[in-house]
Amino acid sequence: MKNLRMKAARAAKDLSQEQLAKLCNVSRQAISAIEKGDYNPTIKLCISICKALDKTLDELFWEEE
Amino acid sequence: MSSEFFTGLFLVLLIGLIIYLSSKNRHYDEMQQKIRAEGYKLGYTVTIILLIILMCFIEYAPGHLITPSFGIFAVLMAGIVTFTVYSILKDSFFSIGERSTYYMIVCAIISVVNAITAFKYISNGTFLENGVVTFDHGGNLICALGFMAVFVALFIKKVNDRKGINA
Repeated sequence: MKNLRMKAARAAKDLSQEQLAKLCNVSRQAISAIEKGDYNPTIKLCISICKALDKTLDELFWEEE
Repeated sequence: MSSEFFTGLFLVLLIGLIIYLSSKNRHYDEMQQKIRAEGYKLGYTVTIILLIILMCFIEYAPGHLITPSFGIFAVLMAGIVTFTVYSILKDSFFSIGERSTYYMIVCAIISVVNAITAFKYISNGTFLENGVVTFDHGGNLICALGFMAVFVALFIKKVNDRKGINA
């Protein structure tokens, strides 16, 4: 399932996948895979992404019904 | 002890040192580590399956086309290439910030050099010794094919990245 909220939050901060990847100390491909829903990140990486994008875990990763 | 033993020991230590020094500053993220683990598993499975086939072939086939040493070398190369190609295509062979150009050049050179040697053996008729492919004269062909496969995987990945397929 695509994570469009994360993509939107990244775009709102005017960050490229590469820039967000650097902030989170992961590869650009990892960010791309998370946004496309191809990879489920660990809680550690989720927190790192949330901190970089100034969002909460709920805002980015909680699946709504 | 023989000089071959010390040469072998020196080579093993040298390769170990190179691997240790080159892996010191590498950082793979969690997704890459997961994919590399899958790649190791896949490479291991391929190696075991091919080894079983090779053992059956050596034990039960009426006339041997290859020597056991050549067969084992080919199987090991297949396992290594499987892991390498899998992790390259899934963006997990190179650590964060590492570039593939150097590896592409090295793979191309090794592949071409080995292909030339293999072609020389084939053209002068010494590729087969008594109708059997040996490690001495067939190893180059396996090296050429293995490194060519890695080069092709690197090339495909580079082209795909440029096209922005994974963007």
